[in-house]
Amino acid sequence: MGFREATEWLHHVFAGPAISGHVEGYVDTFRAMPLWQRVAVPALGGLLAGLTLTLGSRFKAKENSTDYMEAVVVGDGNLAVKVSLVKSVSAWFSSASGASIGREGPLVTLASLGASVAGRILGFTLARKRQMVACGAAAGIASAYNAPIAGAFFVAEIVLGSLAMEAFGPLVVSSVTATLATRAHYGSAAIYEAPVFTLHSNLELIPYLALGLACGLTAPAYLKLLRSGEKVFTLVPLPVWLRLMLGGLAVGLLALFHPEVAGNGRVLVFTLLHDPGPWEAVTVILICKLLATTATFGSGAVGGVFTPTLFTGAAFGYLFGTAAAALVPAWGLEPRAFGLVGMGAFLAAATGAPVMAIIMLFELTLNYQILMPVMLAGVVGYYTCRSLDPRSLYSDALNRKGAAAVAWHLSTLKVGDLMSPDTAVLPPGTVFGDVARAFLQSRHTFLNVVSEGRFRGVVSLHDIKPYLDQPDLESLLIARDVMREDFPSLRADQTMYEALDVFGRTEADCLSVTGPGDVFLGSVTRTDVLLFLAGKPKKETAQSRMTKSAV
Amino acid sequence: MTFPQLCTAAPVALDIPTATENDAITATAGLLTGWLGIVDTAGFRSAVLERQQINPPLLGNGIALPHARTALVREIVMAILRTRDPVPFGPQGLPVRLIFLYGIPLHHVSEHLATTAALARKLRDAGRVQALLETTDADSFRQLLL
Repeated sequence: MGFREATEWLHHVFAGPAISGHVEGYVDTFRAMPLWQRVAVPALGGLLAGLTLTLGSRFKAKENSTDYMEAVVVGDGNLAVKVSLVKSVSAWFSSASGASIGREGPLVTLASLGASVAGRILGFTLARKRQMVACGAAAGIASAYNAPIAGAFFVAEIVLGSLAMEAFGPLVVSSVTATLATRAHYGSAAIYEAPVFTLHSNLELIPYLALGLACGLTAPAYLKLLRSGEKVFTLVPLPVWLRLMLGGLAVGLLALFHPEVAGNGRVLVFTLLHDPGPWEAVTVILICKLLATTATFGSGAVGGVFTPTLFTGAAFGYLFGTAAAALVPAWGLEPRAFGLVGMGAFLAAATGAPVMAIIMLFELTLNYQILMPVMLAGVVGYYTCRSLDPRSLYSDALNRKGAAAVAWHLSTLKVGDLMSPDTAVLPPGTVFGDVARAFLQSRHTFLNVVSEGRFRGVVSLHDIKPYLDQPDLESLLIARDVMREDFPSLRADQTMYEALDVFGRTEADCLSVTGPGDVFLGSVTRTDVLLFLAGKPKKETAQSRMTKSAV
Repeated sequence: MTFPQLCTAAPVALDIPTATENDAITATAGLLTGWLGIVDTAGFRSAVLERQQINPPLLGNGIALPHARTALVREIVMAILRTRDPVPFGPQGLPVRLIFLYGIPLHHVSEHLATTAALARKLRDAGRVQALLETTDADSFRQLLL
């Protein structure tokens, strides 16, 4: 609520005398602005947003993430406070100056940041801190769209990729609480209150099905357009402030002719559902809005593309409905209903989260009649889009941030940090019978052979398994006879990158760790590495132990 | 090399007079002098003796299986020696008359296990061991191992 109010206030400052009396949204403000101001405000906003990012770049994110998705999926649940605030301030400038970008991004980031800080203060475990960040994100979405169910589903389906009750329950609690708090201030009306549309005949489902298919076919092009915007801005290496200013300038130039492009698109969706005007005008506005969103998103402005995606789906659905109504006038099809369904279907296709999209559409409009066509079109759109392009609106960001976080962990974490002292080592002279008994007590399939503190090799369970039923061998062989001297081992100062490379070349689930002169230090298991990367280390790292002991 | 091939190729010396464990092992290893599968006979013998120090591989019934897995052999090699009189082996001085000495290339862990297991299986048969002690020529000795 604070961000929303602050954005409205700053928008009034930017607009100045253009705002006189009641205005419905940014579109009205921009319509009222003189032409120079339509260009200047988004450009100035972009400049300020860019300068904020430039000035804030000295707060390096270091170990903590600045993205709630990363913090939940691959991180440790700790969001970097300063960098997150800098990004939110940048988003504040962008949003308030009419950039064609959603506000849900900073709203979710701030809510997640609050949850992350609370988790840190309360000393929660890593898993609970991650859950806290996820709950914060759900609360942010829920309050941004007045959509408690979709808020929980958004995080569960897109970020966590799971609807398991263990994680979903807390998400529901947080999103409901956030929605109730928001409703106490803004009321409980649906954000996109729409006229009630009814299905007159089951036959009407056929064009809705076709709409789902069309949304699925066009969503990949929409995603490609957004990515191409990013590519265009990276062609020339420009400073961040200049890039964002150019992005704002592009929006301003479009607003010269079509002030409808300003803002996140919420007013446009509302207009489409109530008084859309001629289809030709809708087409022009859709194209201009797509260009504005691509320019803003591509310039690197901080924010979300959720609301612009809703508008794109609504406009596309409306145009599809207009065509369908013209094609079969006898069916009495209502293009605005297609706008609603198109919004859900396009959202399902673009985000790759059909359940969230269906519920979101219901909560945004509170129109139950439209639910069945949306379910049908949403699922068809989702499958069609995925068959063409497996990437979704958020998958690129998730993959990039996930890969970056994993790469950072792998390149900085040393083998010695994850190593544990291995107590199940064998002296070379251990008789075969005792070797076999040692395997019975070990969870590993390889046992280290150590003498005089030095690593000598490993005994493989796979090697000795065929002979475990031969008691004669108990006294005839010793560990040294059956150990593999050429087995790979790790050095304590190697990075996890190198360790994973070694793990990849061997079938061992556990590798010994040595120091200079082959001094045996301990061992690292594949599970240790995977648990760490998953953010669930089974034990403290050596580094944290040292830190604690120093404290 | 299969176990029967190994037995067929192995040099056999019967009723050799030796007094000590070291002498017996040296004599057995000596049967492999000039053997193509061995890089260095003296080094190989030292490796066997060194392994013997850690834990002498004794099967019981007067049988010793001295062995070494070493880079000094190129392929599995075996030599067999029957002493004229029992020779005390190991810290407990257990009497031994049949010595099956073999060498395994360094990284051939599976062959080491397989050879030891095959020998142990064959020599578990008391009747066969008795025949090995009584036979008078090397060929029939080898035949008893097949």
